[in-house]
Amino acid sequence: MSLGKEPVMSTIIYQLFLYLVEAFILLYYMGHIAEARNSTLCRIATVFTSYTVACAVSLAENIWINMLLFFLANTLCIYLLTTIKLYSTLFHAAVLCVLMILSEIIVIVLNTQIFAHFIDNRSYSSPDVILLAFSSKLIYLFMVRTALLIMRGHREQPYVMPSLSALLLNLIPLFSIFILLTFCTLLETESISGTPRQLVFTSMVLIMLINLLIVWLYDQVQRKNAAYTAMQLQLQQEHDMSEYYKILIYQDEEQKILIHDIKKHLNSIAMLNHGDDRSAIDEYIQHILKNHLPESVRVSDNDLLNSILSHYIRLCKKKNISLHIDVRSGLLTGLDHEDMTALIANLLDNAVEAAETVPDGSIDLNIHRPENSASTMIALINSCRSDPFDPDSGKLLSHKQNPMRHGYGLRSIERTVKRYHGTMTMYYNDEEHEFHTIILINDLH
Amino acid sequence: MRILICDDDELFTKQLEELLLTFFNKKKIQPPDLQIYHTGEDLLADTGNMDLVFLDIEMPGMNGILTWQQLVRKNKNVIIIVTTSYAEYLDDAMRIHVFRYLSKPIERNRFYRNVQDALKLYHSLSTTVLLDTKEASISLSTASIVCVESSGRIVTLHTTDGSCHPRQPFSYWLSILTAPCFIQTHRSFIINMKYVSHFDHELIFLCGGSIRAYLSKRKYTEFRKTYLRYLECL
Repeated sequence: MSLGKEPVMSTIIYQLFLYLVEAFILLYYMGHIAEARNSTLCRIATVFTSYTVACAVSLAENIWINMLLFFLANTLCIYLLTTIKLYSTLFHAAVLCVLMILSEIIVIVLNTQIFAHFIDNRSYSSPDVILLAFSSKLIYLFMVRTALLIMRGHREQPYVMPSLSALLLNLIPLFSIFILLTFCTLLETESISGTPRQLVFTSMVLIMLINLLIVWLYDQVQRKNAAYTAMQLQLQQEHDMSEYYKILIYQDEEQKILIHDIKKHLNSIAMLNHGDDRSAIDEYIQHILKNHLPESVRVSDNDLLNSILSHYIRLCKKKNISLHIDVRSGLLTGLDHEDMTALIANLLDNAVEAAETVPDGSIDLNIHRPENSASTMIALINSCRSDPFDPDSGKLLSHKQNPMRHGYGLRSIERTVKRYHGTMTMYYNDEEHEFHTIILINDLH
Repeated sequence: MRILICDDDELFTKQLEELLLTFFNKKKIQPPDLQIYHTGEDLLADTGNMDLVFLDIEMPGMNGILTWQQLVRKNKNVIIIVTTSYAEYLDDAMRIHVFRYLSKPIERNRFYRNVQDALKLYHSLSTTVLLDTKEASISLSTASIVCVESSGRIVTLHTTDGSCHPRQPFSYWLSILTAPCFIQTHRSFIINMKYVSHFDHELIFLCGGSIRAYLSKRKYTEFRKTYLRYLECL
């Protein structure tokens, strides 16, 4: 709310104090809705810088511009400092704006006597105004806490695109902001009293309730989406395990057939040898090796890992990529299917994509525990035609056809490594045309 | 350097011998002393040094796992590369601590990469330095040095057998304890990455945490990358 002419210093201090409190409330809210992307110091610096700029502009005392700056500051901070996507960011920023406007209006409504007094004799140093400011910020904090309670501590999944229903819910708080600002403008400029004023304030209370309901609906939609995603992952895991066991059964049968037919094959080779037809012998032996000796898919003592790797063993065989896997006993037992897939599948997807373009391409996957260490090391070396690092930025260049998919695999790997307090590095060996990825994860057995 | 091959398949041992000689020729390194055996018992009867051993798992009589057990008892620093043609995952074999596993038929480039890594490890294990203390001067294997710490003018050398105060200054140790195993992590610490248990942004924990070395902020990124590359070669 804008006040009349007043010494500049007290105005600045007053506004700065209000924005400082709102900045703390934003930090508090952000800490509960999503994972942080940066350090605490970085978050505090970003929020306070954004709010200082908004505060400076607020001295112009235009509520529309103030609200726009407040909304933009919240959007910028939530987007840069947490892991949620832009559309969800807009929703949270809009909800905060609505709650902030409502908190100020509620306080004004409850102090109607001060409000009338307010228009005629405004002063930042007046105890009434200071009390108003404190009260509105307390109510703002209370409403933010209520919204968080409605969400019941549910944090948004990082980097997940919200569903269409969640996106449409964004519109309601945005419309509410416009309606509330319209009411504020009317109340400031027109002398509305009696029943119409009561109706306006009742409408504002209803808008508040609608927005709290929207927060609840948004949370429900997110939870349903998360449950659906978890179910899909569970189904994927069951599918992978089922495929893996089918391959084991198939291999077992093929080996029994081979043992049964070994005498026949040896007689055939002996006959070809009598005819001294070396090329035919070579062809026959290659045929047995390729068709009757299937690749083993049991490459570790971790069945979950085997189920994921079995897909890549068949894929590499199909693409003529030489794949060597060395997994030592008793490792990665602490990873669930989702994390295992995020880590191993994404690593191998990138490796296959690089190696398939190289003649006689190869992939080496080594998983072992270094001596003296409680950590598990995952080292992947794959053929790579050229250096994939951008010489200017040092970042990896993606060759995926769909630009929307750039970097998702690598981000997924980095998130999983971070979740297990690990570290990773990548480099390109120009001499051997090989790309190396080395990951160290802590205490996973 | 002495390399031993133990495999019951004579054709395979010949192939391995050719690959090794080609590798050393290509790298212009003096060819090693190569010895071939076809049983575990014959290998264990060898009385010479064993620096690098190519060991088959499936052999008649004493199999590769039993041979490995005897081998590491006799030779603490022997580097073992296991070769196997067995398609299935060998649970018993994967529990033993060996340097690398190679599947038959051997793929040339993969073989060369593994031998290169084995040579790096061999050099790090076989290098010795002169340790000069008040009590005596002795030849010390660098593999047994955990870290070197400097506190003012006092230098402390932490080894696997205890600590001592060498006469040589910190700068001397800085010049001789170098890559690939050693790295300076702080102006007063040089560590052997072989003994790193875990680390954070400020400290490196060695030998299960019994020794701590400082890690300066500006060296963190370099240390992290170097340590991971070092582990890759093990």
